[in-house]
Amino acid sequence: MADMGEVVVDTSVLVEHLRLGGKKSQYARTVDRIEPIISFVTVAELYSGKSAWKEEHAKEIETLLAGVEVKFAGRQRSKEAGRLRADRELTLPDAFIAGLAVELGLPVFTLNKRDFAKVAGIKFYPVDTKGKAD
Amino acid sequence: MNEGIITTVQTRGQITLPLKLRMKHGIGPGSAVVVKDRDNEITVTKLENEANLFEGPVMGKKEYVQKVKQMGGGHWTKADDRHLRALKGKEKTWQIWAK
Repeated sequence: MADMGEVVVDTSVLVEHLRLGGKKSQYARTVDRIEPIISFVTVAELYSGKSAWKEEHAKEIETLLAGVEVKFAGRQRSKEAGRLRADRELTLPDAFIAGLAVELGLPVFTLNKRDFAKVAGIKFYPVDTKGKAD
Repeated sequence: MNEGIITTVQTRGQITLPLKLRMKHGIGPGSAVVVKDRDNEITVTKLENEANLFEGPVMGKKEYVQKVKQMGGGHWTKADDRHLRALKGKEKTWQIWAK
C-alpha cells in the first residue's frame, strides 16, 4: 500500500464509478491508496442525476459517500470559488473543487484535467489509463 | 531534523500541547484541532477558519474499500447525462431580475 495521502476527488471520478462499477472504475482501483476528500458540491452533483432518487441506486450512492470526508464552504471558500469563476471561467462546481484543492495543497483526482488546467497552483493525482493503478 | 517534544499521556488519554508549540501555531483555549491516525504516527493539525467545516467518513476504511470494489455499475445512466445537458444554459444570470 502506498502513501494513503489525502486527495480531492472530483465528481467525474465518482460518476464514472457509479456508471462502470467496482470492476472497471478508476476510483475502485485507487481508493485503497488514498484518503478521499470531496467538496460538498460533489454531493449535490451526485444527487443531480434522476437515477439517484430511485431506490435501486440511492443505496449505492450513500455507500460511495460513506467513506469520504466532505468539506463544506463558508464565506472565504465561497469567495475564492467566485474568484476562480470570474478569472478562470470555471463552472461553479469546478470552482469549489479547484479552490478546495489549492487551499489544502492537495492533488485533484479527476477525469477532466482540462476543466481545471487554468487554475494556478493546481496539482493532479495521476490517473491510470491502462487499466491498473500506477 | 526536528526531534519533537516529549509529553506524557494522562490517565484519560489527555496530553498537553507544549506552550512553545501552542504559541507558535496560535492554539489557545477553544481552538479546534484534528487528530489523525496515520500508519505509524498520530498527527495533530490546527483547524484554520473554514477548515473545520467538514463531515468525516462514516464507514471504516476496510469495509468501504471492499464495498466500492464490489459495487456494480449502472447507477449513473445516459438518462442522467441527458438530464444534466438539458439543464445547461438555464443557470441564472440575474438579467431579468434587474429589469
